[in-house]
Amino acid sequence: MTDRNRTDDRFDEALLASLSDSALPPEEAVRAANPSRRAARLVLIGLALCSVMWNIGWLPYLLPVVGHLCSLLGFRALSRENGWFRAAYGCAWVRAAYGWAWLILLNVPGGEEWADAYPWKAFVWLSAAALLFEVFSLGRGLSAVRHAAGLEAGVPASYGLLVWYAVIIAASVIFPDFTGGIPALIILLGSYLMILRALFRTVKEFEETEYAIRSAPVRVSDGPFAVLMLAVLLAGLVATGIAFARLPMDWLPDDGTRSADATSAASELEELGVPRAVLEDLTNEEILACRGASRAVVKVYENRSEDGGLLRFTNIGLRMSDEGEETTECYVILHFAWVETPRVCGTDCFHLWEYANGRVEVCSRGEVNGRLLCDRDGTRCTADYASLGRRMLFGGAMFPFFNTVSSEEGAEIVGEFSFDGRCGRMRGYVFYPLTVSEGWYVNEQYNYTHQASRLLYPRRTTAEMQRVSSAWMGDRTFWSSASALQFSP
Amino acid sequence: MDEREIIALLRAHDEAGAEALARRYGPLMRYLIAPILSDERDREECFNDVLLRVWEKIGLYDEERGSFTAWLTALTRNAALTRARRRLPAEDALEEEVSPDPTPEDMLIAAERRRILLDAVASLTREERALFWRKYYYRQSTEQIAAETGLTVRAAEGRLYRIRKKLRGMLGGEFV
Repeated sequence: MTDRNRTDDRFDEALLASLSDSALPPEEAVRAANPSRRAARLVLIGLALCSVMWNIGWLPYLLPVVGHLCSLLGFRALSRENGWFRAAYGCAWVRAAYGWAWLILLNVPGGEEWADAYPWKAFVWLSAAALLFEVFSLGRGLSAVRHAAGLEAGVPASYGLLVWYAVIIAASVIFPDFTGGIPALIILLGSYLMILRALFRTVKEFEETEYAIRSAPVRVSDGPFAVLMLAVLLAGLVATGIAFARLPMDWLPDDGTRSADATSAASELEELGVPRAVLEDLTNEEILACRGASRAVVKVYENRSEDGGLLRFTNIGLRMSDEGEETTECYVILHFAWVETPRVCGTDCFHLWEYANGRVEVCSRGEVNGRLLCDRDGTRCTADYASLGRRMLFGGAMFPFFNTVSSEEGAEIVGEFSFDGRCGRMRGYVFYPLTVSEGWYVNEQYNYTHQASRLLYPRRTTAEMQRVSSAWMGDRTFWSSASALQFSP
Repeated sequence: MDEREIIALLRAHDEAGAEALARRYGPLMRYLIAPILSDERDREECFNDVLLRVWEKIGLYDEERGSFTAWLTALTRNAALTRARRRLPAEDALEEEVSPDPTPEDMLIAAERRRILLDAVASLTREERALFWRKYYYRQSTEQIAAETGLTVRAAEGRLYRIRKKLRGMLGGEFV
């Protein structure tokens, strides 16, 4: 034995001797003696945190993470005591796996739509069944402990909890689209209070047994176990964050060769005042379509984004028909270009109000086309929009400032895209013909919405975010700039 | 039956109180005895001893001084320690027997040492204090401590080592 070991042993003996008298132990020491308390409390805290979604900030995501960890750690300690706790531990793993997968899925744009797919639904049902069986096993396990401690078996509070969960799950199946209102809020809060009461009763019943459970030895301590679980979640979030940070875009080199006709037409348009930088981005077909324009209206705006980019809008209207006709044929080019590159290149969207004039018959818009351009290593590259098309809005009530737009007419043309962060001169446009009734003016209104922060969870594309909520307004995660082309043709 | 009812029955020397005591606090008492006494028969005898002592000494229990669980914990632990000392090997037992009864001065010194130790323990973190009580008051093995606190044996050993080092730093060499 080394001197150091001898010194340690002597010190240990001195500590033991100092505590060998018959004085009462401090209450703290009495509480430390019962290993059941910590495990039972962890289990119940876990259930409580996973039971109710507090839709405030990131709480709906953070609380279940803590809840799942508590449940796992609690049942891990209890699992050696009896088979019911072991079964509950298995169920806690199923639920945690579902919880982790769900949190990772939320980091995928459109992930919530995937949740309607069959394999995911099967996982949801498995998780719901695991939850019910976990609560049932918890009740049976506690009952077995009470029986082993010589007390009356049965833990009614845990069965109350089981019924509550069963009702909630059944309600979510029968009324899947039920979104709330004050009665639902009261019912939910009342139910939540009932849960808390049931949980407290269960904890008290468990502690009152003063039963010392047989704790399971562990291969990984609780702290590193929790860190490991969080690391798995974080790795999933980082991986999906990298994989789905941008929309898939098919960037191809484009030398921008002009045909002789197109070159001549471009010169005519330039003489009318159309900026050369815009003309260089149009295709031969688009330039040739505009040949013969009698008048050009050009409006240029600039706006600085939250993440330091400078966006220039060049809105161009070209009158194609002669004066005095009942309707006027026009072409519209809405061009946008990042003059100064923004710090974040996530997902952006362009949305054009379909009936900004407020009346369908005033303007008739033809097919909307367009493309995106950028310079990569000195080579011009082009790509189609990730998606470009018409979509319906929820209705006028969502947009009180456009109160002339009825819900039927409430549609917009939306183009979704992502720029490659390694590129320079990021730009794009939409191009379409427009027929305007006599006496009316052109009023094309659109928004450019840009993802201005990488910290975005749940992850949605800019267009998805705008569709489901107007919360992006005033939120620094997204930056939006409105622009318009208004002229009398 | 709750704690107050059990105490009332024990004070009235009603046998139902003893039964309720064994039923409700039996698991805790056995849990406290187990780390100190390794022999199963010893444990059972000690358990019965404690039940008898509680029956006889319930009049000494004073709610003002601490909870009934704390009183029962001290009684159970001390009974197990006394029995463990009796089971010491022959030479150790002889040494115990020739040790004279503590003088009042010895008792004062022991009380002072305990006070100094408790002051030092109070400055540990909550988690460290829980480990300290388990190791030095309840005399639990490192394996038991590890399993019940969600630590690996190695991690528990490491923490106990750090606690010992901290205490030695606070108490100084003369404490030994």
